[in-house]
Amino acid sequence: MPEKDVWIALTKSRPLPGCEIDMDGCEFYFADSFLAMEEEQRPVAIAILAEKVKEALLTRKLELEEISLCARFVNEEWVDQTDSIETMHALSNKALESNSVIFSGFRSEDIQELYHYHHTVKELNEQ
Amino acid sequence: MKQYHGATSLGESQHRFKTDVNLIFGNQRRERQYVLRTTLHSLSVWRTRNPGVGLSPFKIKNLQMIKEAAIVDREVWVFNVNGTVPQDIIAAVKVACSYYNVSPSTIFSDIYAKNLNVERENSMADQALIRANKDLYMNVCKTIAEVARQLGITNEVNFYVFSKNNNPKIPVNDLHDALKEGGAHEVKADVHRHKVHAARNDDSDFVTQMTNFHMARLRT
Repeated sequence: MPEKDVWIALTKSRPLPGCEIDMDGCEFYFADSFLAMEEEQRPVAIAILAEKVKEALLTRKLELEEISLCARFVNEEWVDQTDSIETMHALSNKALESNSVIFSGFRSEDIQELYHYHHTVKELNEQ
Repeated sequence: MKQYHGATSLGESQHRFKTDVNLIFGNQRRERQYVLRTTLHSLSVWRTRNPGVGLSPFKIKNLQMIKEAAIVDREVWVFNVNGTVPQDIIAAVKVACSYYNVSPSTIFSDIYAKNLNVERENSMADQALIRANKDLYMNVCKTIAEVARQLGITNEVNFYVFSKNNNPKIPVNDLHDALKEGGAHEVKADVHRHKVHAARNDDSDFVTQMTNFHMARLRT
């Protein structure tokens, strides 16, 4: 069976009329999104991820405004500082078992500003 | 002497997003030892939506009504409870009273709800959704007062609501109007905001937000 990678994209999106996620009345919502892809798709992974994330957000009546970070998610390279209900690593594992885009919870602008969700790539040569 | 407190929550869904029933105004906390949580979901649906949550289920009969209930984390959960049907809530309160061996006023003097809202029909416009949600809050208020009367609770009851002031599904002015139309003689909002998780009705996604905290006082 071919090996799979997980890719992560940090999204900022705008609620459209009728959006059920819009419980806050803010202009933008933020979420981390994860998608598993075959290793051989690496050269086109970023384009595929952006397209799939855009589609998945639209089914939730959210319009993608911006992707602020897009990268291959390698478990040991990431330190979770997100204070989320599910860790990035748990979401990445979910993505591996799914063919769909997996989203973290959606964060309102207040939360995004107050909690400063940071994602850090660990230095591999750190002891 | 240590004081013991109780509370009831309405409209629960996922266990991991359960409503904080310890919060009171002024950013203060009152630890509740006797907690009743009610949900519209059946026990089987709730189990599917909350995999891995340990519970001890049982059935209860109140008059002609049979309800499923369970103990989760030493709290009483009662299923198939519609927050606008007095008999559903009365049956649930009686289970909690019996389990904890306390009076109805211990369980049902402080009632909590978080972001209650009706299911949006596909074609439902925002104004129609707000009207439907106003009706929902008004009817819940009336139901709370009716339940308190039928249970012989003579003190005032407090209905605490978590809802963002600019919640597009029910903005604060509409929420406060609905609570007053439902019989509240006093409605106020706390100056403090709180971090909460709010799930969609189908539980597929959730939002983390800083939300406002409101209280309606109801005379029985």
